[in-house]
Amino acid sequence: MSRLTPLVVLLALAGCKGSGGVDAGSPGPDARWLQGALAPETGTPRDGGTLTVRLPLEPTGLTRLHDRFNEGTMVRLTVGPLYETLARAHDGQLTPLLAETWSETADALTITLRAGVKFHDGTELTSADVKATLDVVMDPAKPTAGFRAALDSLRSVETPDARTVVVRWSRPWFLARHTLLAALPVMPAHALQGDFDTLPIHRAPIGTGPFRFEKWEPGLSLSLVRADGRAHLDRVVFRFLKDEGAAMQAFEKGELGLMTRLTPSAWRSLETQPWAWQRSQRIFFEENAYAWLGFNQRKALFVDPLVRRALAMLYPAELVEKTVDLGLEPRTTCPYFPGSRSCDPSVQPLAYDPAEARRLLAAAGWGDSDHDGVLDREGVRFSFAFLAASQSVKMARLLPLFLDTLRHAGIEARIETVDVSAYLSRVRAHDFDAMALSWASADEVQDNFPNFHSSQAAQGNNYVGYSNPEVDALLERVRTELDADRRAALEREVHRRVYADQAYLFLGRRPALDAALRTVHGLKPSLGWYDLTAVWISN
Amino acid sequence: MRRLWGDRGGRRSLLFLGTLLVLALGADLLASDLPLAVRLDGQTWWLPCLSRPVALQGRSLADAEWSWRTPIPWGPLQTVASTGEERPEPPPWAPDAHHWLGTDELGRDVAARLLHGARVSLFVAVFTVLISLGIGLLIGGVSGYAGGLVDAVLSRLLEVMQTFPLVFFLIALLSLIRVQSLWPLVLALALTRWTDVARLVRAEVLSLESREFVLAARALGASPARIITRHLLPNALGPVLVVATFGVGSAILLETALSFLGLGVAPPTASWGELLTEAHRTLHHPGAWWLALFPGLAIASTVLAVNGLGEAVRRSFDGRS
Repeated sequence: MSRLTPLVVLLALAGCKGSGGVDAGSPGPDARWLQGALAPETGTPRDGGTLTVRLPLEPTGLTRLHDRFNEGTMVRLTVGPLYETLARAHDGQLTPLLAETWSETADALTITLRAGVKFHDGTELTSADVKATLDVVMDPAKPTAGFRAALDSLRSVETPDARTVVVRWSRPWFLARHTLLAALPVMPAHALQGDFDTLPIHRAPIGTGPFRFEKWEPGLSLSLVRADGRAHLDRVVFRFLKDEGAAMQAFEKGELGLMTRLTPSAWRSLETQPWAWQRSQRIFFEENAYAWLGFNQRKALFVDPLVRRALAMLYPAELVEKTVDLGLEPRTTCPYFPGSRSCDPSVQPLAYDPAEARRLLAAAGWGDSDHDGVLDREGVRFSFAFLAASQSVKMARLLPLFLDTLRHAGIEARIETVDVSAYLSRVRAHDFDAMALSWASADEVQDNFPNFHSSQAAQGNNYVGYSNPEVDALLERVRTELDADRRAALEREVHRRVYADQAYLFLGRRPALDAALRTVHGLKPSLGWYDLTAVWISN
Repeated sequence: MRRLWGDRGGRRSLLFLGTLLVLALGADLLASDLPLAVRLDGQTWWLPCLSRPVALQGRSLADAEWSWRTPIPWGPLQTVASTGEERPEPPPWAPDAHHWLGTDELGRDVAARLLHGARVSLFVAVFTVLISLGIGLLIGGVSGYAGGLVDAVLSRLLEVMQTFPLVFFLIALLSLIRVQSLWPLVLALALTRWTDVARLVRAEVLSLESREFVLAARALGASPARIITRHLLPNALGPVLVVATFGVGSAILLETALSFLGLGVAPPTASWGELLTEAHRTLHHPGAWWLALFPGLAIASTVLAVNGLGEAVRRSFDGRS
């Protein structure tokens, strides 16, 4: 008992911490700093130094091919500098990367690889490596369904010589070409032999990128070192710091150069810290990411779209935006990149309207027949659990607000917290009533087939079990439509229907909220994160 | 009990804990978003704060002919989403006339959550001790009385349980339990707390079983169960009560620590540990001292009072012997 007493006392004292507020004598941050816009670069890049990056979570593996890992943003950030794709996507254009050139016919894509490219283990990149990577992806026995779904029109891969890859398609599909060229990381063929689940390359990547893998200390950090002359930095160290308070202290001491994925409250709290304006820059940039609450539509409680609309009307969106998101995560209704032609700007979010929600619930047959304070229908109480990851700061704040409004409408909801790995396992096994997730993509181009098509409810990303034959048909047409304008029109229709059905309770867009020390230069944010080859450290 | 009341420290502790118990049990009548009584739309509702009728939930009481609010007119789960309070600055709000102990980041009243949290924390602590007392008395009594192989097996079990790192064991156990109610938490805590009682009871039984009144009972043909329950355990109860009293304080701290680690009471249910977790999440709010101070004070003073009572119980038994 005596060992635990100091915890209480320390916590009580921690609450009495000094204000740490703004020094009235020092000038405040300028408008650029407040907006999170980076200052224009001055000075000449210098080689050397280590960039220490804070990650809020540890990646579960270091490969994007395996389904177990490919969804994670942390995986994307950490393996990004290690691997390369055949081409680089930027502003809707593809520029050569590992591929020197490519040419197309109606049903084939011929790629010529750049000569002299070597993997980090010294072996030369050949067409056999591209074919081996594609063979792994297309093998239905392997857990690579994420990439396979995007490449399912691939019919065959031929390698007439060491530098040429010929890919043939079974049918036209806009996403397959883009995925093959700009999203698929090319891995060495020799490292893909053996039991795919336990391949060493999943934990010690071998790529062709500007950085090579050095070491991974589970629970602590992951180090990458400069592979060749393309980068300025000697080393990039990703430190896994779940506790945001501890991470902020390390940042203040200069132990971290770049803070990624801050919560809105931590990002805002920097505004009151004079050291933060003087020694760091805040970075705000739009990502193709949005958060949503999902109700398991396999369960009788949530089958009726009327009920899901009522739940959306009980969601205190404005309040969450103000108190939880602090104005940094504007509400969205669209499952595509916000502001793109795929979103219909006329779709307005449902307003918070408890009275209308009660009417909808009554129309759906819910009432309090046994006067116990909870709605019921045919003997079933409107009671369910929100599954939440214990590490989610946002859910810890958002859910009590939502539960409060649900309770006042006679809906009994509770929170069931589990750790992240158990959370993802249960979501994939559809073992939940309600849950929250974010979708993020490093690309503007995206296909919502895996998320909303009813065929994906059993094993795909359609975790909530959404099913609407009309949306299914639209999603199928989107996949085969090669004309960008007509495809955007179809996607806008998907947007309208998915929102009308409340397939998800759409929350907000998720911009990246980062901060970097002023000694870190060359940070140019994009949808795919930062290009670390351009980053350098000044004295 | 009279001896305990006569002890100044014991009396103070009893008064404090008694008051706390009354406040905790009456939390729904002291702090609720629904009134004690209200007349609305021509209908009178009595104690809606207990029955929570759907028709009244979310209704503004401004239209009521009359209403009788609870002393703290906020519920423990009531956030700004339902209070409708609007101030220039977002919460947390410092203590003032509306919120005596301030609010947390979601506008929830700290006083209301402390009161309701007391009920949860005391429930967990008291039932943990009662169950661990039952397990400890049974295993300790049987082990001490039976001796031989039974004693050897039970003693090894006891030693194995004692060698487990307590918090590690609880984290592992609670991670496996899916049902998020108070009982799994109570049972998990009780499973780790019975060993002290069992060891003490075993020692007491070993020293008592050669006494004349036990030998007499045995000579008269009393069964082992009767000898243990009627003669041995009642006489071993004094020291056990002292350990059990200290155990209440220990259980409160353990519940606090587990809730702080996210393994205790499921949020947003108010418990003292959960309040400290909330305080920790909001440490970056400069100067929100009330969030950690009041739950910290409540925990510290309750544990001190329980320890004071334990000391008084020991003194009263020492005095009697």
